[in-house]
Amino acid sequence: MPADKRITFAASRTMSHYESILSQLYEILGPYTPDGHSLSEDTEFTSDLSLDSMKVMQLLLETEERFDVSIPLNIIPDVRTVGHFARCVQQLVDRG
Amino acid sequence: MALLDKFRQLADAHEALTRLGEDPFRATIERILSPTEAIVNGRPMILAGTNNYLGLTLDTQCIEAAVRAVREEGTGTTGSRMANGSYSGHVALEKDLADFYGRRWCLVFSTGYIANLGLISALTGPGDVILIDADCHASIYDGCRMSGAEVIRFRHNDVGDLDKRLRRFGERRANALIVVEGIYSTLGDRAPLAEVAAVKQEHGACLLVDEAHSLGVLGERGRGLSEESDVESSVDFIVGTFSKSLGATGGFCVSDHPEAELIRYGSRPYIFTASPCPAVIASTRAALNKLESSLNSVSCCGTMRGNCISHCRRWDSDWVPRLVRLSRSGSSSAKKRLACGTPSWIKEYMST
Repeated sequence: MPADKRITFAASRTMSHYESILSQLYEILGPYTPDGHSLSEDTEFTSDLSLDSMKVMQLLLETEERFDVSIPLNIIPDVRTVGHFARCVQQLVDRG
Repeated sequence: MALLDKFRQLADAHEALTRLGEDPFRATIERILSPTEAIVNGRPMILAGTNNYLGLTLDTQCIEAAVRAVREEGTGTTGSRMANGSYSGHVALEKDLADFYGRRWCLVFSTGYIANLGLISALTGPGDVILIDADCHASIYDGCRMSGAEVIRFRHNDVGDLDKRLRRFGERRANALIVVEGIYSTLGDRAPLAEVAAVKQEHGACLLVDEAHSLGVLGERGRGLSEESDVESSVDFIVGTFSKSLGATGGFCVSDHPEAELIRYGSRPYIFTASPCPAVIASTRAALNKLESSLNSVSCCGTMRGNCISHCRRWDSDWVPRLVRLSRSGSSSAKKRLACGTPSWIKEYMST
């Protein structure tokens, strides 16, 4: 397989994996989402979902169980959007 | 001013509480009547929320030791031990505590909070892993944050979850520190320490147990849950405080690892905090001596509990603390207790 095709194939697999994680995160985030608000990659945890630290901890636990990973608390302050969170989860899943 | 905007949420929450009536956060202890009673907001009350488990804050020998120390050494040390040197009392108390626990090393810190901050941040750093029980005290969370290590929470008292998370780290388990508490401060339940110690041994990790609430309360010699569970040899570091059973203020860590003695040279909270004042050191030594010399610390604690219950019966009131999930109803509950003479000081989960 040519190198450029391999790259495209890998990218598409990665994207599909990412999208799968994203859609599962949307499911988990459903109960935390205010009525009339739709979720997207750009949805912000603080300003759009108004998640306080207690809810963040609960969300963390549910995400860890869904993907069978341990999410370091250290990453939380830097995660602003759902898309960013999905990429963090993807990295942890890929790391095994 | 944008800098101060973040306080709006706290101001709103506080205002909502005060609208309900008397502000439970402003209950002022005006006069102490006994280890468990005081005049609060002009009325006699039972201090059901106190951590004065052995009632030693008003013990004659502890008070006399403190008074003597103040007269001989002054009211404060005015600096840290690294900068100004150690008083002989600091060194003596560290030896007393090491002897009490049967450990080689002891470090005394200025508060229990600083003990966790100072120990955890010195023990671990980038590249290390800390696994903490989800219900650990804020000082443990803050120590973890200060360390720069990777911090993972496991479900409260769920040893299977701890085991699963340790397994995920593979060879990095050798760099893992597990942190649990003997008695958890908010709910009052105990860690399943024998099982935690077994998992720790299996994975070759380090184990730190915070015995702040269990010192003088659990174990035949009052050494805490580690002693009661017969796993002291598996516990690498024990942290404790003087501000509960020992009736003063301060914290400590004991260990058999020779590296523990080096912590004082690398722990910023230890290095840059003023050392405990002479009166605190003296009363703590007297309290520890009293605890050690009592034949059975549990019976001492039992007496204290019995006193408290009889006081409560006298006031015809319930004294057992309970967990109320919603902050507003929690405060309302605390207000009711304040009104009936049993202020159970509430701690609101400070969601941010």
